[in-house]
Amino acid sequence: MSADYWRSTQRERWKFTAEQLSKLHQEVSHNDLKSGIDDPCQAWDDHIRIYIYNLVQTLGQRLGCRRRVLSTAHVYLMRIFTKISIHEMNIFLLVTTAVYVAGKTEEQPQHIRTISNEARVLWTDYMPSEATLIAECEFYMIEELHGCLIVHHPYRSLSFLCESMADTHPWLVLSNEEFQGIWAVINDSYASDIPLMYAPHIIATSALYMTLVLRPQLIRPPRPPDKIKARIDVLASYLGKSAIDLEKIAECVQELVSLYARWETYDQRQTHLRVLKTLSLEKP
Amino acid sequence: MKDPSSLTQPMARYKARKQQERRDPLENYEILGYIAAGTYGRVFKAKSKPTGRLCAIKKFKLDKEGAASYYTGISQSAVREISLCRELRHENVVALIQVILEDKSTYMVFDYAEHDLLQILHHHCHPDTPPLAHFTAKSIVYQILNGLDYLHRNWVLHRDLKPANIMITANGVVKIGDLGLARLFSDPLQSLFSGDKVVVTIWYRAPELLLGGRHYTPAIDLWAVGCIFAEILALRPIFKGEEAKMDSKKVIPFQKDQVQKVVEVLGTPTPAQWPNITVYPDYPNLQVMNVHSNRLEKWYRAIGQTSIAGLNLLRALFDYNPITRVSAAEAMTHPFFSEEPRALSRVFGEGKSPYPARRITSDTNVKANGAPKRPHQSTTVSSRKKSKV
Ligand SMILES: Nc1ncnc2c1ncn2[C@@H]1O[C@H](COP(=O)(O)OP(=O)(O)O)[C@@H](O)[C@H]1O
Repeated sequence: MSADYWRSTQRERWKFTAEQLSKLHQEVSHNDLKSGIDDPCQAWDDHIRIYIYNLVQTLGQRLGCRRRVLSTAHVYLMRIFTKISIHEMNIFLLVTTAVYVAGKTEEQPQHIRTISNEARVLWTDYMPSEATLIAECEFYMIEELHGCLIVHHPYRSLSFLCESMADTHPWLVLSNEEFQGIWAVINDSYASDIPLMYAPHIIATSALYMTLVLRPQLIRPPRPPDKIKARIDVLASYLGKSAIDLEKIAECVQELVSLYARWETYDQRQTHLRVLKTLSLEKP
Repeated sequence: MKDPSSLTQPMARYKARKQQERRDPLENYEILGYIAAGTYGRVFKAKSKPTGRLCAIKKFKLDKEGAASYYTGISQSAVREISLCRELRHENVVALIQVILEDKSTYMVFDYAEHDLLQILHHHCHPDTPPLAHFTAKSIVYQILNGLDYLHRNWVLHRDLKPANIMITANGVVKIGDLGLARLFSDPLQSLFSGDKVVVTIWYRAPELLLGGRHYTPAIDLWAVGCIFAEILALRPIFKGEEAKMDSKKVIPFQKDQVQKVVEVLGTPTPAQWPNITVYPDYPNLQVMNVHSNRLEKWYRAIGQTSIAGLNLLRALFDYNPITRVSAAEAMTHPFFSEEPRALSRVFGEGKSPYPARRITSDTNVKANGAPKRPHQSTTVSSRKKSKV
């Protein structure tokens, strides 16, 4: 929404440090143990997290959702999993509901039947067939989120950053490929807790740094190597002069790096089997 | 491999845990009475048991009235109002205290406002009440602009400003309410063209919408402020048109009578005044209507107003061209507000509110899902229907 991230519920109620997050996650696991579930599989487990990310992406693509809708749905899920365990609800239902609610928040609503049907096509064996269950789940979701549905994403910060850089130095004009590359890193960040831990402009800047400095080989270099070095210096001086918290950028870049490392070792099939176990555990 | 219970009772564990933890959040409130039925739900007056704070609890209508036996999705309007109100905090915007989802129903708990502008205007229509104080009128308009400026700075369009949605607390602070139609306009991706049909109660609807425009801009809210300002001065709506109903083919009708009412006072708009007018779909419909000249000043004098600054502010709000129409921030710096009497932070001044308290009825059954009762207000109120989304 609201132009003002600084006074948003996202900053005031839904931003956590790594310690806070791990404490919340511990509590959730503790609840599981209390109700007799002794399975360490949780939504914040590195691979389960990527698995959930993929579920949202797959459903979103099927429904033709805009990127923002999916990003918002990802954030809802991350927030929910600071409070509930993956053993407590059918994850396929939860993912479907998150996309359903995010569509409404982002003013791209889809009919509950459409969403339900598409999810059933994708996940025939795992997705409940009653659309009213999505409506019921929506209720719990909005309640767990305390009605905080508006999410600020890094995309706008990225556009702003691009303009500002282009105004500052001709070498800082981004090529289309670079822009796409940064955009993709931002999208990838939703497969981690990064959006719960950092402000949108920090994520945008980190994605930019990641793309231009750490992974320039991924993008065909538009300039000879010595120029690349010189350009990085200009970028460093630009960021240094900006009021952006460089400590936070460094941390966030580190998070991105480890996310990509996790992705390297990600095994979809095996993770799928672990997730199915959470479904069959589900008996009151 | 798969367990059927995860399909038929996919939230069983969650619900079991919640049931243990849960207390009915509505138990924190003592329901004092029933206030009114809005378009989207019923509103109750309540008192928070822990704090003693007075609240208005808005219960959203279920899609199907009657016993809620199953969950229906939460309406787009409720999602908008909940999500926006959660983020907004301003002296002149009604404050959301809590959202409660209980028993298949959605409730929003707001700070209570003793009055609303519609009720105040009605009060002055009785022949033996003294006129609305000048400073009160000016302070109300100023505070509406102040709240609206905040909304617009936060990229929120209200889209349904009208006297019934302007709340005023017992100590005289304006609170803009009912954000059920509000939309964000910060992101061009969230197209403001599509989705819902034209909203805004017809009397307060801006000319660009009346001429078939679908593009929402902050200027639409400022036109509505103009109408409200005029209504505060005249104690009756300035453009009281008859709404043309949608025909059976679901074609959005041209609101001829409403346009007529506007041009009778403001004159027929010309491309010289409003260069883009020719691109609006209903411009041809306007062209075949009788031509009128602007008689706003006559109207203003006839209701006994003398302040030239006030007339100028009205003109600025009634600028036909949405691009040049005054913004909320600009309107707040208008000379009208630096002229005596000054706008006050308490619209009733130092004293107590001179208006009767909001009437409530004794229905306190907030949980019942029956058809809403008609509010106990004068018949003119119920004739002010709002067009649905
Ligand atoms: N905060 C409040 N305090 C007191 N009364 C209120 C408050 N909010 C709403 N009301 C009353 O309830 C009526 C309907 O509320 P509103 O928000 O306009 O509902 P709807 O969007 O369904 O039309 C209002 O006209 C007003 O009389």
